[in-house]
Amino acid sequence: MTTIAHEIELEALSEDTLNGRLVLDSALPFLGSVKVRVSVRVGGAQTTVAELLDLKQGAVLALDRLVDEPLDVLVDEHVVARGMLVAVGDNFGVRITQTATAATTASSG
Amino acid sequence: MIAAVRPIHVPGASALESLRQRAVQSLEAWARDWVSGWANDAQRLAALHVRSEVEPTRTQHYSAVRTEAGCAWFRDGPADRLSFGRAIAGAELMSGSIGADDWITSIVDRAWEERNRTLCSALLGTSVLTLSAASQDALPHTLFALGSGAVQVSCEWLGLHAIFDSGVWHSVPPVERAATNRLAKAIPLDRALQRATTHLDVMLGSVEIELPKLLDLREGDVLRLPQRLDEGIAVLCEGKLLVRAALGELRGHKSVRISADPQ
Repeated sequence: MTTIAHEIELEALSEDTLNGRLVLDSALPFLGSVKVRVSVRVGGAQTTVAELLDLKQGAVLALDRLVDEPLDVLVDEHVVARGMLVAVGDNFGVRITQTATAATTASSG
Repeated sequence: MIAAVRPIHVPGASALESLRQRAVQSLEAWARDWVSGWANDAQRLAALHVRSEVEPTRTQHYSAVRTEAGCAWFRDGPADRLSFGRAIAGAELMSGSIGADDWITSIVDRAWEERNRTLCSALLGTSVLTLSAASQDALPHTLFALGSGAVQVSCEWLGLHAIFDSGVWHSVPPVERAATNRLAKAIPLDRALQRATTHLDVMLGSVEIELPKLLDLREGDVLRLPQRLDEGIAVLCEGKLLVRAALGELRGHKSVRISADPQ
């Protein structure tokens, strides 16, 4: 069997916007099904392998955050917001205290 | 697919110089027997070069020499033979074409063979096993690879352009070891590992959120995580769950008390 292959001529594209209408607005209903994993980090700690191997139950690790510092809300390992630790019924939760846009406005203003 | 692994030879300048000196000395001995008027030409061998970068040439013909320790290939083109003939018999005798005088041609051929034999014995450190003709295609491709350990010996005056394989290094004594004590002393792997640092992340949990909801996130909103208060929070090392812990405070810092390993 022979496969017939045709060369494809690519149309030249210019970067001019034709009518400037946003495509995202009309696409939002579809984007609504896109899910993003959001993680909440309390803090971190630097240890040596020796300390790690010697870790026992009941040991206490001090983290690199002060008690009153907020938690990091992460998307893909980037901090997108910060918040306070809360309990929501029997579950952990976080109350947002600062979002990235608010942070930008705060720093620029 | 498993990639082939080969050693990379990095010959030092002093090692190349020691090969060069050996080549010059052996050719001086040879030249006394074969080069007419050698006394006038004694300085010519100073222009002999030994390099660790080997390049293929356009000439197809080579004289191959095999020894127990390694092999060498001498480029054997008409121009090489002509330079060589002029060097040993003098320009006036070689002014015609090479085949003009059978007697001279036979001497030149014999001298050529002896030169190759002498140089191989000197650089490869063993006696010569065979001499034969070879085409460039017959040369191992690896000679021209980076760090092959092959060396190129050349001297324009003698029409000499030879490639020696990495066998030449078997006969080169190791360089003085005086510099060794400058190097840091190696420490046992387990001790080095113990000093190696790693970063732990303490994670409250995570939740999947639809994109529009995330884009709408405002101050004061509360994200409810699926992790339960009584589960303890996760201590991660390089993204992997290491142990679970309870949250607390120690000297003004957020802290965790290790409760159990994850199993």
